[in-house]
Amino acid sequence: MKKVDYAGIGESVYFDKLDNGLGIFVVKKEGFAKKYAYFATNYGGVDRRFKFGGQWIDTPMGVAHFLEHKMFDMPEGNALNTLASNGASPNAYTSLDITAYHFESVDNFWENLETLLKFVSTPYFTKESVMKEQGIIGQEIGMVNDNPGTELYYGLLRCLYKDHPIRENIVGTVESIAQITEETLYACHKMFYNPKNMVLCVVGDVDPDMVYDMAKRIITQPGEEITDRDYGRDEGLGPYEKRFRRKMQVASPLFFLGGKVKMPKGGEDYLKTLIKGQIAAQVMAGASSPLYNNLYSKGLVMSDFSGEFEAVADTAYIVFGGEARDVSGAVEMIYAEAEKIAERGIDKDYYDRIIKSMIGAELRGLNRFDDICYNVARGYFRDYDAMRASDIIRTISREEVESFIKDHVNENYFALSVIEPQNG
Amino acid sequence: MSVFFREEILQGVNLTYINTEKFKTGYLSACLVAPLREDTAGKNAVLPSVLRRGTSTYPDMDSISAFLDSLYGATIDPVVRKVGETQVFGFQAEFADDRYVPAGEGIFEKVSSLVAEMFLYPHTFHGRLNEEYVKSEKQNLIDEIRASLNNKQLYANQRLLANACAGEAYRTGRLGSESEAAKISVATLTHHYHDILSSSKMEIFYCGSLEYERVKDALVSSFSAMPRGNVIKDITTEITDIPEGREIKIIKEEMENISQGKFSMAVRLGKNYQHMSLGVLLVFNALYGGSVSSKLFSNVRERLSLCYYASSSVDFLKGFMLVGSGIDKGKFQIAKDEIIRQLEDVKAGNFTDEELKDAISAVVTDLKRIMDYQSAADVYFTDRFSNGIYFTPEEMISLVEKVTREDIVKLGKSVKADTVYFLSGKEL
Repeated sequence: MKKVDYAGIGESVYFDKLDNGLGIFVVKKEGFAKKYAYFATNYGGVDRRFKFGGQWIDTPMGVAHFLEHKMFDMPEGNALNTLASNGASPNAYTSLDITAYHFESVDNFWENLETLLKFVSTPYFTKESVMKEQGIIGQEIGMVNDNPGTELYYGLLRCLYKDHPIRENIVGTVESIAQITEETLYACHKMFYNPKNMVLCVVGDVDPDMVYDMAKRIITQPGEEITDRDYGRDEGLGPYEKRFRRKMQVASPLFFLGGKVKMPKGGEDYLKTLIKGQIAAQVMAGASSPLYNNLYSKGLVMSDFSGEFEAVADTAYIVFGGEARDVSGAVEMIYAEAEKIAERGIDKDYYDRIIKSMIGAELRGLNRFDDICYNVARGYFRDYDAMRASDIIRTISREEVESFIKDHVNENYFALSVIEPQNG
Repeated sequence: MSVFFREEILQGVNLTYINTEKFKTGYLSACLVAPLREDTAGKNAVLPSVLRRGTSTYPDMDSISAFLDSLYGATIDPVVRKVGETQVFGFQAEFADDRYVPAGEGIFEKVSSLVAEMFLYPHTFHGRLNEEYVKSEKQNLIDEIRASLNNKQLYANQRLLANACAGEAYRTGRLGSESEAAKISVATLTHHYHDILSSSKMEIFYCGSLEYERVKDALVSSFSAMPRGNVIKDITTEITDIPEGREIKIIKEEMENISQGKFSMAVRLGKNYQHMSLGVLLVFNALYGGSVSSKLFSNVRERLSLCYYASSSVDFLKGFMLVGSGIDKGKFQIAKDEIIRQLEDVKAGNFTDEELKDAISAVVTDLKRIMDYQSAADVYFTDRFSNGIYFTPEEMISLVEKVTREDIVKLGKSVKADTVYFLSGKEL
C-alpha cells in the first residue's frame, strides 16, 4: 500500500485500490490496543433515483436504512451476534448520504474483520425476514415521528427544499417501506454495495498489507459504476417555504433557523467550502461568540444554542438554533449579527482565536477512531483528502468568511422551523 | 506501559504522570478527595461548577471561553465522582499537544495555571463567592438531581441504597440529596470552600507527551499558594458484612406511569474481599453479570427471556455489587429467584471452564482498553491511587489472568445478597 505522512498532525495513512475499485485506507496508530474497522458505501437516504446499467431506477423512501438492518442476516446466523460474541463492539448507521458498518475490538481483530467484509458483501434476504423487519422498522418510524428534534430538523429541510430527497426522513414511512420486497433489497445491494462504490477504513496498530490482502481475498465482486444520481433540479438559494411550526410535548420552544449553500461537485474545493461553512457557523454562533453570549445572557436562548454547517450529497445548509425562551427575539438578533458582520467585518483577534480553536478541535478528532473513518470515507466519496483539514483551516482568510456570511446568512434565503410547547 | 511516575509534589498534592505520544492532545485533571457525607456531598458537587464560572483574572464565562479558544480550543470541565465512600471533585482539561502547535505557545503551562486559578482565586465579592454564580449553579445541581429521578433504573438504585445502606455513608448519591442542595447559600458555600480546599488532599493526573520535569514545575508553580491546613489523608471506605442467618430484605414500591418494572439488588462481598483479591472480584462480576457472556445475560435474558436487560456492576472499594434489570411486573418472583439462583451458582463454582475463560478475557479486554482513552486512564488511576490501591492496568491484567475457580469459590463464601428493591407501575 502507498503511504502518505502528514507531519503537521503526526499521522501516516496507507491507501490502495483493489482492481475492482474498492478503496482501502489504513490509518496507523501505534501504541493503541483497540482497533477500529469501518466498511461504508456511498449510499444513503437521498439516493433514491439513479442511473445504473444505462437505465434510470426509482426506489421507495427508506430502502437504504431498511437494507442496513437486513445486512446482518447471514445464512448461518446473525453477524452482529457473531461479532459481539467474538469480543467486538459492532454497529451500523445510515445517514442521508452514507451507510456504514463498523466494529471496535482489542482481540481477534482479523477474525472480526473477515466477518465484517463477508456479511456486508453477502446479500441474504427472505420474504419472512423482510416482513418481520417491516414490523420492527414500523415501530422505529413511530418513535422517530414522536421525537421533537427530528421534527424540528426535517421541518427546516422541508422549508428549504422543494424536490430534493433530503426532505424525506431516512427511515421512510410505513407506506413506503411496505413496498419493499426481497427483490428491491437484492437490486439495491447489487448496485450500491459494489466495490467501486465502497471504502474500507481501518484505524489502529495493524499491518496495512494484511488489511489489503484480506480485502482482496474476500471482496471479489466486479466493480460497476453508478453513472448518475438524481437529486432534483437546482433549486437556487431561496427557500421553498419560509416557516414550519408544530406543537409537541416539549418544555420550551425549539427552533432551527437556516439556509442552503451550494456545494462544488467534489475535490479540494468541496473540502474548502465545507470548512469555510464550519468557520462561519463558529464565528457567528460559537460558545465564545458575541451573539451566543448576548442571546444567553439576555435569557433568549438556553446553553445548547449553536451554529452548524452540514453538507449532504450535492447540497449543504447552515443552521442556527437550540432551545429558546424567545424565538422571534433570537431570530432578530441572529440576522442583526449577520448584518453587522457584512457591514463591519469580523474582528481580527476574534477570527484568529476561532481558527486556533478549530485546529484544536481537529486534533481532538484525531483521537477518535470513528470520526477519522467517517471523515476519510466522506473525503474518498467526494474526492478530497480529509487529512488535509487542519492545513485548509489555516488557509481560509477572514475576508472569505465575511463574504460567505454576507452571501448566505440572509433573511431572504433563510427559513424557520419551530416546535412549540403543547400548552404554550 | 508507557513511562509512569507518582510523587507528592506539594503537601497533600499527588501527581500521577503518564508519558505517551499516542494522543494528539494532552490531558490534565486536578481533583480534591473528601469523605462522602450526606451534609457535604451537595456542596462538594456544586463547587467545581461555581469555580468554573469565573476567576479573578477571567471574571466570567466569556473571558474564559475566549482565553481557551486562544489556547487552540482547550477545554476545562467540572468533575464529580463517587468512589466507595469518598467523593472526587475538581476539573479535567484537554488541550492540543505541543508537538502539533507552533513552538513557544506553552499551552500546558497556561492550562495548568488556569485550573489552579479556578481552585485558588475564584471570582469573589467582599470575600464571598459570586452570588449569581452560586445561585444558578445551585439550581443546575437541583435540576440534575431531579433529572436522575426521571431515569427509573437510577431511581430504583437510589431507593435500594437508601434501604440497604441506611446507617452507612454509602447511601449518599454522587450529587447528594435535593434537600441538602436546597440549603446551599453563598455564605455556607464560601465557608465550605475555604475549609475543603485546605483540608482535602488533591490528586493531579497528567497524560501526554511532555517530559516529567516540565509538568511538575508548572504544577508546583501553579499550585504553590494552595492553602494546606490539617490535610485529611486517610479516608476509608468500610466494607460491611451481613450478619449470619439474616434473610434478604425485599422492598416493593409502586409509581404511576411505569410500564416496565425496575429490579435492583445489592450484593455484599463481605470479609473475604480484600484489596488483594481485586482481580477475583472483577472476574466474579464478569461471570455473574458484568459481560455479554455472563450468567445473568445468557440465562435470565437469553435462555428464559425473563427481562429486557440484566447486568451487574461492582464498587471495588465498598465490595458492593449492584444488579439492575428491567422486568414485567408479573414476572418479578420468578426473575428474582433466577437472579439469586445464578448468584448462588457462581458462589458454588457451578460454571464451566469456558465461562471462566470468557469472563477473564472480558475483564482483560476492558483493562487493555483503559490506556486507549486519557479520561478512562484518569478515572482508573485517580480513583484507585487516591484510595491506596496501586495496581496499574498491566499489573491488574496479570492478577486477573491468574484467577482460578478456587479463588471465586473462596470469595463466594462471604458473598451475600443483602436487599432486593422492585419498582413497578400502579394498578389502575
